[in-house]
Amino acid sequence: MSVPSTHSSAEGTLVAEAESDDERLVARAQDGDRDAFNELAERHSSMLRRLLFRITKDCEAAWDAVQEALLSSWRNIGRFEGRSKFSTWLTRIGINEAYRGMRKGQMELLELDDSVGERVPDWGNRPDDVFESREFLAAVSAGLDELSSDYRAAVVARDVDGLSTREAAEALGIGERALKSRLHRGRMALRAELDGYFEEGYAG
Amino acid sequence: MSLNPMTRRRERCSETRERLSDHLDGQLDPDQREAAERHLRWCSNCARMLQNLSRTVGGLHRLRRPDSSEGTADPDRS
Repeated sequence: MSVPSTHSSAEGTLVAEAESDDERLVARAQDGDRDAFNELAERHSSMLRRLLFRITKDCEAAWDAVQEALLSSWRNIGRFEGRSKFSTWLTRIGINEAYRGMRKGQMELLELDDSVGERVPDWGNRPDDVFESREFLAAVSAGLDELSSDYRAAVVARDVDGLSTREAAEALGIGERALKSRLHRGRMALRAELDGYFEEGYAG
Repeated sequence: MSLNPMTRRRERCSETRERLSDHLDGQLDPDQREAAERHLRWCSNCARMLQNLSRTVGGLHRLRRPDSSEGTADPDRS
């Protein structure tokens, strides 16, 4: 499955400039320039907070995870080798912090809802723009919030943030097989949630 | 593998559904992909599930967009 491009060529130029600014700031931060790191933090913290809120579902916990991630990335900036973008590296640290905070005293069972034999609801032959509408995306977002934290963390890391299987597994501190299992169960649970949205399309 | 055709069909459905995400992500090995595609050609129920799952994953990818009202996307990331 291909992901549609999210940037026009003009936006692409801006993104490329932002990335090269990041590289310059990272180089200065690695030389101990705290102001440069603060600028990096300012550039990325609000996006990171919004992403981590999707995992924690709690403003304060998301903010705590951002703070921990920034502290950790400042301490470890010397080890950042630039093999990924700074924002990807910071996001991985942030997801790890958010997930770690959320897992304290909590264990959830992972069950796959096996409805083999039941008719799978038909979402109908709707045009593509239905699946790009704000209403549909709001339903996806609301369904995501309903997932258990283990599923949600895996789905956010892979599908919303776009980390690779290996990167997402590392961020959550689990193996790739466990990550793929949680991702699949999370996607399937969300798909089941969205059946309600298309209920009228049911052709029983 | 059961010899009962109904049980066998259910097993095929379960096996295919377990692999739908890997199928969408292009992470099945050739034998698994061929088996999944064969099943999906004649099992309309599993084919619908794949289509619905694909739409779901497409929606999640779109939450990445900076211009999405629900988006969490970082403009530095594509």
